Amino acid sequence: MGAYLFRRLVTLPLMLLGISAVSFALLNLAPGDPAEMVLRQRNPAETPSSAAVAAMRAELGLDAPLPKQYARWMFRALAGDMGRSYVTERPVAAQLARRTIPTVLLTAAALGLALLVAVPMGILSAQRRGSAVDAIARLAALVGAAAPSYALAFGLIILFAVRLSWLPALGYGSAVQVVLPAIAVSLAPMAQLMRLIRASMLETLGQDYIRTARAKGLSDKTVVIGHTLRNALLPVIGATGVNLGYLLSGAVIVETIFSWPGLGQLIVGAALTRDYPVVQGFVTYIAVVVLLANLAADIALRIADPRLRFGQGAM
Amino acid sequence: MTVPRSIFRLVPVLLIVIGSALTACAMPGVPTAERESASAAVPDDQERSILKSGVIWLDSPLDPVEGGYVATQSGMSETLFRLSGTTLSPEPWLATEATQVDSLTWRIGIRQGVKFHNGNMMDAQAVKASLERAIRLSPAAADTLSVDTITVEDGQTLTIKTTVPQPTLPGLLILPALAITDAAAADAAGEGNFIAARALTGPYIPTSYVQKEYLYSVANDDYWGGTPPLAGIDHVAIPDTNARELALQAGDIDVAVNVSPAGAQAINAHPGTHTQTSGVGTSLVLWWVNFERGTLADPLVRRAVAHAIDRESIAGLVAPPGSGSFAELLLPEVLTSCPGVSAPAYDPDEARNLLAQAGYTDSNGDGIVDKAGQPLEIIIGGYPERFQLPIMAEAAQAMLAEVGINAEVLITEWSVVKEPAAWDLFGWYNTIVQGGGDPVYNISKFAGLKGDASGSGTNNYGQYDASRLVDIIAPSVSVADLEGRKAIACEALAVITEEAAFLPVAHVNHVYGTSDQVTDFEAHPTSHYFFNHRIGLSE
Amino acid sequence: MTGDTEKAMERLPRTFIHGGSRRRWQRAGLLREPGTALGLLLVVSLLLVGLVAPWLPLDDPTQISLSHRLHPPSMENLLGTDHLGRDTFSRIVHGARMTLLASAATLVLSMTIALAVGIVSGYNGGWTDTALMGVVDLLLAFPSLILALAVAGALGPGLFNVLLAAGAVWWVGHARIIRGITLGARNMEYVTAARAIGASNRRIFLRYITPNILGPIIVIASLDVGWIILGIAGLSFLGLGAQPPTPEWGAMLNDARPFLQTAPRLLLLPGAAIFIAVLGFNLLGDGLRDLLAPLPNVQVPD
Repeated sequence: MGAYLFRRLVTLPLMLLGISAVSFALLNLAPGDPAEMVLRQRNPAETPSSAAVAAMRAELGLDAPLPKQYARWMFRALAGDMGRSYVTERPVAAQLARRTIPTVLLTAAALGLALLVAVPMGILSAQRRGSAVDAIARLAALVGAAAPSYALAFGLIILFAVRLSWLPALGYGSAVQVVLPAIAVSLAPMAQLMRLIRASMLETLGQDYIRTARAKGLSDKTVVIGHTLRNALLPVIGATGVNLGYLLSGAVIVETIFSWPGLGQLIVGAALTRDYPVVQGFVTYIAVVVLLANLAADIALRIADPRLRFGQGAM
Repeated sequence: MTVPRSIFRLVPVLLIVIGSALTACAMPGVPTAERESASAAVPDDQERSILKSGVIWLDSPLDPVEGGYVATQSGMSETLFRLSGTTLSPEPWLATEATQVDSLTWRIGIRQGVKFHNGNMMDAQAVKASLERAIRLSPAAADTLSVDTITVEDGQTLTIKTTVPQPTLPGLLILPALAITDAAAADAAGEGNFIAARALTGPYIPTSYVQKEYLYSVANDDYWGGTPPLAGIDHVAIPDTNARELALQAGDIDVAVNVSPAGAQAINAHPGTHTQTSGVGTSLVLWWVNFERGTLADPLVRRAVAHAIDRESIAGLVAPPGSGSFAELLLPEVLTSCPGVSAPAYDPDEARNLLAQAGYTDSNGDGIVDKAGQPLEIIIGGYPERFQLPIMAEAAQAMLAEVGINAEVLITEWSVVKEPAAWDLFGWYNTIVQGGGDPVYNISKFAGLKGDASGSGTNNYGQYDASRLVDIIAPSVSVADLEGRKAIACEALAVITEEAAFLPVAHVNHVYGTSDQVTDFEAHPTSHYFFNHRIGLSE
Repeated sequence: MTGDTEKAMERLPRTFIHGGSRRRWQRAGLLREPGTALGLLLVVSLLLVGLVAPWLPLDDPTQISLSHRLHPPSMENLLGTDHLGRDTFSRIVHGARMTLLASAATLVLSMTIALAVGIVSGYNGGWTDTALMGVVDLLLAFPSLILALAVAGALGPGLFNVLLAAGAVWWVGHARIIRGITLGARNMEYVTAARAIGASNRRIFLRYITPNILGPIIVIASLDVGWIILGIAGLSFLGLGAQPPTPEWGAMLNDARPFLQTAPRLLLLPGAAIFIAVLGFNLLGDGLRDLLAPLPNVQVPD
């Protein structure tokens, strides 16, 4: 365990370095001269002179060799300075920070909803394999995995906001407004989690110690809650990174539909305007979050699952 | 097994707690602390409500000199003259009158009893300082006025001397950049701190502004026109037209600015909301034609494009009922006095002829005409926030295909219009009452000239060479009467039309969606003034 | 490294890898399982429709008719017309073609990269393996749709650019699985034996490694199409993908947004089309996995 943790912590800076390199490469992938873009943004009326572009290149530090630019960008990023948006000329880090709360609220609500449905459904469908409950759960998982969140979002708006007027169609500011977007975001991870939990429940139920427990005459409830559930939920922790990816990807599209003032709206707008400092900052930010979440999940998994601590997982 | 098993028993409980807490917990709502400053002293404040408005953009700084039309739109700043919603001509606002002393001199009377939000009195001296600050800091303001000197005559009178004759000066003074500010306070507050200066005069005082997101305001109880019935107005930016319309129906906002024909239908069918439409259309959707990229530099091809697009049908798609379908760069009312000018008629055969004359034929039979092996391809740009533009672009694309022109649609950010390498036609939504409704000023601005054609202006995105227009427009400096100026504008328009320098599509009315609670809303035909001091909310 | 391999495999939308019923299905035919049969039916119909779309007696999907806009379904226009008077049915059908072509191109691109990286990494081992898998681990930290969005934004709007972007980010998870399979196959006794008697790399590769990889690749590919369809339509919906007048489902959804209230079918129809296509591929993929190639639980000696 200690060795594993040590290894992960040592590779962490390397990974962060890699992430920053990938993000930096993104900016340089974009066609067009950032210096010229900034100037055009500032004064739309005229085509900037080459002298002005050169001066702006110097001001933005774009005249330095690439490795030097990268080093500079990285050190600034470490200090929390992700540059300024070409479009609004506001600091990227501040924008990301301000947009984080709505996105965290949305993804957390969606995750909560996904778990709320997926855990009991997954358990029930495994326990009563082949029953009607199982069939419904599996069908729901299939539907959830295939439904595009963006089309679903419109379906929800048409049904619950326009036709039935039960819920607000969009906006941000009150608790009811989170319901529709959270449902739209939660469906894909919900389906995924349901499958995962069912599969691992089935596996665990087939294990020797469960059979022993049953043979000892322990009730179904005791077996499920006391013995099976714990092991069955382990893969859920293991899939944290993947689910976080689902949630964030879903949030990106769904936020633009529901006018949710989160990171998704920001990144989509920035990608369409080629506001590269924002795109770059966002991608870096998300990658670091996913990386750390994965690390945390791995450590949690190893604490929770003795097999991994002493068995195959040991390095 | 070092972890106590009981922990895992908690898992389901925990899940439910987390799930419900996150779903239901109070979310950060509208900050209220900021608005207390101005209204706390008013005892009946609890009974006045806050109106919420949804607009497309809140994208420019509040300080008028930084291009801030936002402050004028939202009832925060005021100019010396404003554009009347009924006559579409300038009427006194912070000024009381304007008289032309000689061709270069105007005397302006300043309204008495107007206070800036910070309590300072607005007198002639303050107006002079404000105009001088605008000229110093805003190129658009400096270009528009060509001021020589501003002199304070007495407490409420000043004289403006210009370097060139400005027969329509009151109309020029409606420019939002020329809104009257407390110059000393604005300068003292420094850049980015304009709100703190409380340097404006309107019925609403800005309290908090995040560009492209929201702008909150409280009522100015010292307003010279009377105390506003509302406690404040919250403006939120909702760029997506559809989202704005839904927000109104859901009750999230009380006023939705700029709704689409489809949205208007839904809003009027929805209980509790309806639309209000301005009487005349002063906005024009048009295509800029790019002379710089080369494809459309050929006048024959430009004319072919103009004949190939059925603009009348497209106008029916994008303009609300009641809008004029005959579109030009001038107000319909002005156009009636331009008998010689008519837009190129929809005539695909004529378009094909013109293309053939220009040397384009379909030599390889792929349906796209070509010349010297190069197929004729154009890019039609536009931005999504004005719902008219994507529809226009797609319809034109199909019509151009009929005559063998391959058009690509590029719906992207507004700012792309500034990159002339990226488009041939760019869909644009613009006002045709620039310069206070003066037809000459308006047409000069479109042609990329200063209002009096004395130099090049700021908005020539298509790089149109307006040299033929300069001689026509230049004499306007000595023509003050409207009929004379109309004649000049018509002459200039005839040249622009002949050169197919722009492709106007439709005049559009301003359609606002409001909740039934909104009272005294003025559906102004321009996007200059969405809110005044009379608007209220009934219970 | 086991944990990481598992993580890579979890990127696949598995039904029940450890489901227990696998062996039974393996023995049964593909069509014995109703879900798989339905999946096959959906996919085959989709392929057929997509292939023959240009020859079907349909209206031109790009032909506008401003006097026939927003018409409700009728005998003339089975699913009505859109905001420019184009036939919605024809656009949905041609959309199938567009979607299939785009997904196939993305799949080929991402699979090629995944195979190259996975096989080189697994077969060579050593520092090549360490370096390539380091890159893979790194890229796994970026959610694919978000990275694709960033790349597509950089390249500019257009269906082709979206293909490039999706292909360029989609391979990452697969490379790890293919590497694992390659490594497993390479270390099998008969391969070691073949090596010992001096068989060429090429021969070992074709004779022993390829057959081992083929099954999993088919499975991964069929499970993947659903995700690719969702991703591409999503990017098109955001305005980065297919541009007008291309009949593409995601772009159609985006086009129809103003008519959410007045003509909701314009949104619901392309949405349903995407759903059905993805469902078909997912069902088929699940069935194929159970039948063809139980993804080996690769135990990779580290």
